[in-house]
Amino acid sequence: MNLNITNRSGQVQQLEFSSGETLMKLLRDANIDISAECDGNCVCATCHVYVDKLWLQGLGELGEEEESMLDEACEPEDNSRLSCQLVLSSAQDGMSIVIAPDWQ
Amino acid sequence: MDYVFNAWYVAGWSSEFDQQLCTREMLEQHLVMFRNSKGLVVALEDRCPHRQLPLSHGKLIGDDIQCGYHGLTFDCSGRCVRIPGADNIPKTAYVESYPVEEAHGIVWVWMGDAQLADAKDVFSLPQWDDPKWYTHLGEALHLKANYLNVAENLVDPAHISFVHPTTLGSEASEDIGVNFETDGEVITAWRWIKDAPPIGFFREVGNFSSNVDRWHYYDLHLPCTAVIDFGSSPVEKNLQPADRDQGVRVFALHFLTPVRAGYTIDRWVHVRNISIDDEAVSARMDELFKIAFAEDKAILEAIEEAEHRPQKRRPIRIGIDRGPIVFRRRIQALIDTEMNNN
Repeated sequence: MNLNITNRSGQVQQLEFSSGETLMKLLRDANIDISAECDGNCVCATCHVYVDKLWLQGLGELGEEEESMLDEACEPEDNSRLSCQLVLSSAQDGMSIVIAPDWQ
Repeated sequence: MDYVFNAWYVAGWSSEFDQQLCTREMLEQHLVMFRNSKGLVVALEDRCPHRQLPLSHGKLIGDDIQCGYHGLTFDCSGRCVRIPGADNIPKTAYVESYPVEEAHGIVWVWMGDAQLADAKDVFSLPQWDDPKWYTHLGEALHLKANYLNVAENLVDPAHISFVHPTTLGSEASEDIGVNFETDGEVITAWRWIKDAPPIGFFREVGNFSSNVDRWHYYDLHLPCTAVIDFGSSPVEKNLQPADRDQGVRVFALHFLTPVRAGYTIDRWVHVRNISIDDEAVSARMDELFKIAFAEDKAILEAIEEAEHRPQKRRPIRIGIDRGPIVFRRRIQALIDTEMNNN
């Protein structure tokens, strides 16, 4: 199973994943430039990504804490997600995401 | 600075109020307070509606305050009862009156819409009415720091290993994660440190010498009351969380009063299940807490200054920040709700 990742320089790469992984850990392990300061605790919004709108519905509802934290993310959009809260499954095979800008 | 107004805030201990005028500043409001002849504590706006002289410059005549400038006189409800030289007292001649409640030696003032003030909402600890527990009123710690930073320090168990190494923390807890949960208006950050040497506080207060299991539960009751439940028990007892009363258990209560931006008063109390009635133990606990609270004051005042210096970066946020960040979000939601209702 694969994801298509567009990094902040606009380059696209494919990343292989297995079910049950969080997207944040997958990105970090692949040395994609996200800071993920809080290590998956949903308090920093520095693992912010944009999800291809066609795939949004398959991700289910935003959690309450994730929704609050996205208000504080850098340049949030309707298709924003925190990658630390996104647990991957076969339903995401082929999904495209774009790494959102960071403040630094 | 924004505040939550619809809440009870501590104005002081009961012993601080008698039949003399005294002043308090709370949430940027100036209050004049006294205990009337019926024994009730009164809190009024400390500013004459005429020429704006603080009424605390005037004098108490019976249960009324006479302004020190032209003698306008106000009763305990804030209503003007006399304007010397005038036959008529207009409706506009009044000062704001604040609801007051007094319980367990503590005086609380409601700073928001008086219609919403309900004595049932005054903080109370169940152990206050239990003879197996002993309560000691501490002191008022004045901090040149904003109340949000002071409050977040009280839902942050992770700092104690580094800020309070001789009293409340130790190296053993440095790398132990913090758990987090919310229940209604209470935010809790907590952790257990198992099988570690006793911290300084419990070597003295609990007489522990060999390894203990130790807990710290930081309950922050929105907006500004913190209940820190901490204690220790011998490792061999394998104490379960529900049985904390069987260990040496202490509650450190912190009642924060935001005074103004960059200034907060933390009035603290401790409650314990050992050495009942032993005031020598209370005094020693006061000393230990005062060491720790002076350490908090030093860091919080340094942060207040550092935060106001220009900076290019957003402060980073790490996993242990969950309690503080959820606290700030909840406070902001309460503030927004009050502003939308006004």
